[in-house]
Order: sequence, then structure tokens, then C-alpha cells
Amino acid sequence: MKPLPLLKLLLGIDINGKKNSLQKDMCLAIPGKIVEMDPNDQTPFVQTALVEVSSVRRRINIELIKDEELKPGDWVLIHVGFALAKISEREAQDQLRILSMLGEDKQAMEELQGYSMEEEKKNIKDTILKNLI
Amino acid sequence: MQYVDEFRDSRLIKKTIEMIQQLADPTVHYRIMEVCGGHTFSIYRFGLHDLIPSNVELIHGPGCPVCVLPMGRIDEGLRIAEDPKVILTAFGDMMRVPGQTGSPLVLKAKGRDIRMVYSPLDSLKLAKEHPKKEVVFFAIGFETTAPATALTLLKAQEWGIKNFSVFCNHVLILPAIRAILDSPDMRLDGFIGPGHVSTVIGCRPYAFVAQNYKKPIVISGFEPLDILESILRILRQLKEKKSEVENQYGRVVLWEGNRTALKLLERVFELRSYFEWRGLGFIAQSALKIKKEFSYWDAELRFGTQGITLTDPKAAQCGEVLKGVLKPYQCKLFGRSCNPEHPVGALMVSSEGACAAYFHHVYQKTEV
Ligand code: SF4
Repeated sequence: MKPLPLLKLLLGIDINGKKNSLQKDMCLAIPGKIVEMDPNDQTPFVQTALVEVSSVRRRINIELIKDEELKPGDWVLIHVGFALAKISEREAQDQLRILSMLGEDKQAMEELQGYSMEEEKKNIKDTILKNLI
Repeated sequence: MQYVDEFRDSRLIKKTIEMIQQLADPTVHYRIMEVCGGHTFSIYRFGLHDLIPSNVELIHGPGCPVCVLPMGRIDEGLRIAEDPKVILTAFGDMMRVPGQTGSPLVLKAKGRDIRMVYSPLDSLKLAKEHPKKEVVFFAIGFETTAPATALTLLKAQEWGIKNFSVFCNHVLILPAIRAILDSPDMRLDGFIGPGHVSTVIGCRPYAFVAQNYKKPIVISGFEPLDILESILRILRQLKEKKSEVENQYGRVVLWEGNRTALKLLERVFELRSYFEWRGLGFIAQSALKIKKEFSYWDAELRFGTQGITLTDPKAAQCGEVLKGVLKPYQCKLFGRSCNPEHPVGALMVSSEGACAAYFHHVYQKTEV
């Protein structure tokens, strides 16, 4: 019998799940660390912050948690480009770890950077080919 | 990472499993529903269903936004994209969901302008950049995503962006839970409550589950230990004959939820009297509609929708799987004509869909 995934985890073996590159999830939120508040924000009425997730940076909207006093160094939970909640560093680390265990971390990065058109084109080609077969 | 040890502590996990074994009465068959697709994914990924006693059955709920979208709505959105002036934008996990005439990805390959976006605000930006085009955002998702759409609509109004509109398919988790509780073929003992939806709505709205239906509900995080602890808490409540709303995910979810987000929802949306859910049928007041004040940006009004309802392919049993009546592998198409390469139903597309999660983490592993 093959060991179960969690048992593998208990035994300290890393799980490297194969993941279809076309699958994107929207439900899992990604933790990010605020690097800068409102960096060169020219648009009025938009409150943004520059966040960093494993060295990838993106501007995200922080209006949903505008009541929190946010400052660089704080961690937030990001969902579809919006900070949804302020979280502790500890929680952020836990989330990052579960993302990587779930094999979602690379994808989360990809989403954070925005989708790469090149890859998308290739995927479409693959899909057409598959549908032809 | 000095903090992670506690969660990774295998002893803690083993201990929790032991405690679950002690609490679960072997003569009782427990049925616990995890509402959120993220939990389904975690459960299969870590094989949690195999670690708990076999009389504690985990039932997968309707909390996967693309899975519950009926085919008619997908076709309706794709029909809007037929207009050569339209750029249809959608989240990545929508791209492969099959409509009757094909998925957004297939139609994109046939020449329609359909683009993936990461955030609804990116769609608005796209509209700004392409003033001659009509940008339509295919909005899906539960209370987690709806505030982002609400804010985007506010911005569209504020900035007077006229060539942008939203095809709104936002649904609410609570009416779905109620529908499942009211469904005659369902017998459930408790719920693992959704984590990230609750960061928005908080814990209070679940009170009806505990008070009216007398079922325990524990809002849970996504770590293996979180889910196991939530199962333990549900079993403990059942043993003590209690039914309460508990917040296991207190480190992220506030009891009150996110007020700003809730106010935004109220400002921009109102309840639809009915909305069709795949598998669950029409549920009263279960989805959001754009308010009159913002109707200018409502794609349904701008392009006119026809209220298409389509029945799923006959042999597909997505409905039963969504309701938790059948397990993914009990669907006649599972692994045969329906697989992640050629999905028949949306549950096979999103990795939060029960069928895809089962296929990737259990089925494929045992087949090889
Ligand atoms: S296997 Fe395919 S057709 Fe059957 S329930 Fe799952 S998604 Fe639907």
C-alpha cells in the first residue's frame, strides 16, 4: 500500500503534487507583506499598497481594510487583488506554508504577477489540439 | 520560519486523530459537511478522510464558485462575448468551465476576445485602456469575492467609465447551506464552516444553523490540523448534545466579519429573488444583483440576457455530487468520459471541485 499524503508529511517526505497548469483557484487567499503604502499613487480615491510575496511585488487595493492602521511590515491576506484582512506574521507564515504544501505557491505567484499571455496562448493551442484528437 | 513547528508537529496531528477516535461513537455514522471547496481540496490533498474513523464521513459541500454556476449562465456570458466590440474578462478558473457551445478558452481560440484577469479592477483598467471596446467582467464567487466587484463598480461610477459592465453571478453561501439543510435526501450532523468567506461575513450569520437546525458549525482554517481540530470540535458538541457556532479560525476570522466589505456589498448589491444553482436548483434570495443606482454598469441590462436554463448532460451527476448525495467516484462519468482533460462538469475543472480534487489526489494515485 502506498503511504497516504499526510502520513508522508508526518514522515517528513515532501509532497510534489502534479498540477495542471491551466487550473487556477480563486478561493485560497495569499498572504503578502506590505512594503510601501501608496507608492506613487496617481489615481485619486484608490488606496493601494505595494506588497511582497516571496520577492514578487504587486500593488493591491487596501480599501476593504481601511479601518486598520496599516504600515510597512504588516501582513495582509490577499484575494483577487484586494487585501481582505490584516493577519499576524505567524498566520502569514502558516498560510504560505500550506500554499506550498498544496502545490499552490507557484500558481499564487503567477496570479499575483498577472497572467502571462505567452503561456495562455500555448495553453489554448494545447486545448485546441486536444479537442481535435 | 520559527513559527511553523507547532502546526507541523506530527505528534499534535496524531493526538488530534486519537482524540477524534475516542470521541466518535463507533455505533453512530456521522455525516459532516465541509462547505468550502478549499477544505475539500485540503482533505483530499492530505488524505484526511483516510485518517479519521470510517464512521465519520466527510461530505463535500457547494462552496466552489465555478462548480455551482449553472450552464445557462455560462452560455449567457459567452453570448455577450459574441459581439465583436466586447472584451469579456474572467478569472482563470472560469476559463475551462464547459458551456454548451464550449468553454471560454475554446471560444477564445475561435476568435472571441476573452481574457483572464486577476482582479476585477484589472478589467476596469482594461476598459480605460480600450475606450472603443466594451469590457464586460464575468463576476463569479461568494462573499469573499463580491466586495471586490462592489468596489470596482463604485470606481466605475466615480470615474465615469462608460465602456465597462459587470455580468454579475455572485452567490451567497448561507442560502445554499439552508437549502441543503432543507433538502429531504440529506441527513447531516454538522458543518465545517468556510474560512475565507467568513473573514467577510463573520460568524454571527451562521447562528440559524445552530439555533434553528440544531447542527454544530465550526468555522475552520485550511491546515490539516485546523480541519482535524474542527472535526474534533463538532464531535465534541455532538457528544455534549450542543449545537453552537464555533470559530476555530479566530486568528483570521473576526466574529463581526469585515464591516467595510459588508457595507460595500449593501451599497452596491441587492438580493435576487431567485437564482439557479447547479445541482441545487433555484434558491430564493441566494444571489446578488446590481442595484438600480449602478444599473448602467449591469451587463445583463446592457446586453439583455435571456434567462437561459440548460440541463446538464443526462448521465452527469454533478448535482448529486454537489449536494453530497453521491461521492465523485460514484458518478457514472467519473474518470471515463469526464476527466480533468475533458471535463463534462465544472466540478472536474476547478481544483476545488470535488471531482477534480478526488481525481488528482486519490484516483490517479491508486490507478498507477
Ligand atoms: S465526474 Fe464529471 S459529470 Fe460526474 S459529477 Fe463529477 S464533474 Fe459532474
